[in-house]
Amino acid sequence: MSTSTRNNLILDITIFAAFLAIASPKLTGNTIHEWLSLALAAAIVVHLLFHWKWIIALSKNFFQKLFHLSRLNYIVNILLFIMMTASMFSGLLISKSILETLGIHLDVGQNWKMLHNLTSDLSVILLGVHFALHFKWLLSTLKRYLITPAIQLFQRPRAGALVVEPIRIKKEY
Amino acid sequence: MNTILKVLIILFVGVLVAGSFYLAVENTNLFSNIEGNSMQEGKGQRSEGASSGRGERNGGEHHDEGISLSEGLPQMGRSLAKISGITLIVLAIQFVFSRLKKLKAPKALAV
Repeated sequence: MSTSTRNNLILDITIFAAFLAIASPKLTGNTIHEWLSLALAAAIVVHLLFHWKWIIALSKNFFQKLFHLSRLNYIVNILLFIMMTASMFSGLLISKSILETLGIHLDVGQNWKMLHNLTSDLSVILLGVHFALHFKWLLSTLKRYLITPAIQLFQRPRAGALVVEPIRIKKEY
Repeated sequence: MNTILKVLIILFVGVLVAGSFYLAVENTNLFSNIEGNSMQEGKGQRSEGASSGRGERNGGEHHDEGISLSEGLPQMGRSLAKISGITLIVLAIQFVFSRLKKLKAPKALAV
């Protein structure tokens, strides 16, 4: 899948915004909370596709440079994937809207609700770590694609500065 | 590698993780203690007793917890604060480690 830094940034900001909305079900209501989580799962799959080469490369060479920051990053990412999968799966099992729409009826115990709360809280913590480990990239990319263009937009050309203007040249034969 | 194949691999890993959690919850007592505690804590709050928390749906009544800005915005703020706090802690740890590395580096050169 072809990817660019800008696309990565847009996807990451979207995922983060969706995560924040999902983490506050009282703000969105239960129905949006459930359906947005399903959409987030799809967005995470795309996020993983964007970073597929990195995942494969690190999976192959994990033990070659064991004490490297990328290895910590890899472990955090795996834990985050596990926690988010567990959170979404348990959420799906206790969901009121999605399963009702699909016409599925499940009788599951209260422990799934507990698991959902536990894995959601752990996901928030791991997302914080994931965010911190990519902080430099995020900062430089935000500066490149958001902050600098925004500053340039409001910046006036200085008085006396050279301005390039197009001119028409008449061809005379 | 084909994109569809990659998606299938990701979904397969997701199913494996979900399946493992399902087996762990349904076939072990891993979460039964948590369940017991939560039942005691939530006895006064929940009227459905030991049922699964799905009584609303079982009864055919659709119960959507209401949207509340006054409760929802602080909840979102708390999540944001948690993520920011953890990020700051990790960045601080990284900063300390990089400082320690820099302090060690000149000594190594001198030797």
